[in-house]
Amino acid sequence: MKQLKKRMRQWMTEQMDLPADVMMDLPRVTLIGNFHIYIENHKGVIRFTKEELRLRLTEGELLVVGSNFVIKNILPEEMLLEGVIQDIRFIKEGSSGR
Amino acid sequence: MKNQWLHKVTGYVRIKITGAYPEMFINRCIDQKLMIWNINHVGKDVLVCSVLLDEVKYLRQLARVSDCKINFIERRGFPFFIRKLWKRNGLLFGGVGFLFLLYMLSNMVWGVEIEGASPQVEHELRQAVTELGIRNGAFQFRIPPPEEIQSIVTDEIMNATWIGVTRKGTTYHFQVVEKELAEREPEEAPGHLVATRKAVIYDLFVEEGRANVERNQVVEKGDLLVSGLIGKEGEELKVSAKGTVLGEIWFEAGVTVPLSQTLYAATGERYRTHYLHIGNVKLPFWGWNPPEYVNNKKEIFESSWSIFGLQLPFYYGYRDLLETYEIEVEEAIEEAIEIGKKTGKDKLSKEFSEDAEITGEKVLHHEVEDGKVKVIIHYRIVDEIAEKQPIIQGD
Repeated sequence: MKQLKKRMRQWMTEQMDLPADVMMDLPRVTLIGNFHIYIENHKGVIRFTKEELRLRLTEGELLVVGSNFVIKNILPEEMLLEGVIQDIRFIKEGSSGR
Repeated sequence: MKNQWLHKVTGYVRIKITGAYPEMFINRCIDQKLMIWNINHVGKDVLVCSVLLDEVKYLRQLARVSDCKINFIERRGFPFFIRKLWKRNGLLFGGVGFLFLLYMLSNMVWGVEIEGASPQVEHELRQAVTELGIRNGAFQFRIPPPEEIQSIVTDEIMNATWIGVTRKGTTYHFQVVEKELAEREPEEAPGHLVATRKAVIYDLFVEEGRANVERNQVVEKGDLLVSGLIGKEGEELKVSAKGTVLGEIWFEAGVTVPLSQTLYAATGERYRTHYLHIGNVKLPFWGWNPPEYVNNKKEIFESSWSIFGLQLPFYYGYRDLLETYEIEVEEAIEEAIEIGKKTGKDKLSKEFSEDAEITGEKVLHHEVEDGKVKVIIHYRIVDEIAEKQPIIQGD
């Protein structure tokens, strides 16, 4: 049933030209150079240190690696991270990350 | 992104979160829709973040739930700034006191200046002004406005025609215009008034002296009109006789008028040359080749340009060249007589004073001779006939 709903949405997105992040509850990541990263539709912070930020997503996790990280602002489903960003990685559920 | 200055007004605190899993505390805060920003990682399992002052009260419970410890490390924003300022209230009072003192001192009178008055009037004015309370060190808000001072002071000082009062900052200026007493007319030498020409007295008005004639009396040239000797006979007082004596004078004027005259009339042909005047220099800029008329007349027009009441040094003008031709005008005798009357009046103005009045005019006689009309006109004129004659001592 859930699979069907997901496929239905995917089909609608493709056919009707709707933005995927709205339709399918996916994260929208905006990068400004390598020092600002703006993430929408996250589901909470799993880990935050100076070198690493791990966010929970609807499916899996988002890992941002770099240095001098500061969360400039955080709201439900929306955040702005500042620092030197080196790597952005999507991690499937269940895997360890590094 | 929230605007960054609002939390500076309401105040905010920096807190340190210590615990096994501080991210949990952040998540909880977000779930509760608390404003939280500038999250730093300072060490293992230690985060530092900023929280609004209003929302601090919810933190303790959240910390307990997420198994963290919170420490307040900094207070920032306006409420804390005020508290800090209050601790140094000496500075605050100093600032306020300074402003107050500046205001008071700038509202005092620091000078009274009097201009254009003689020492005596100046002293009088200074006293009057001091009575009104205008002296060094007085407060301006206890002093009436300059217009009022002006009317009071002008009333009070008798020797001044006008006193202008202006306030410039902390100084009062008094501009005094003193009364100038008119000098008495010098005493005139005693004398009579005598007639300048033969006339019939029309009217007389004596200011000083004793009238010697009556209305409708005929006087010859040099007759005494107003005597400068007044009082009882034998012990007369000598005065300067003064007055107006109007006499009616008969005057005959002979005028010759030619019966034909040469006049010039315009044919309608004209030529215009446009000029630009710069200072005293005339520059023609249109109409270079004026035709050559046998008889012509020039008409000149000059405009003047001014801006803000200031005459500009350049302006526009033109010159019209009009073609004319001669015409002979034959005049009827009646018309010639009319012209004669006019020229006769012009002659009169040379003979009599400006105030002279023509009361009668009559053509006595006219005759035509060699294309000319000779007209003799009789005028009756009322004019001043009195003339000063000094009384000679021992006379």
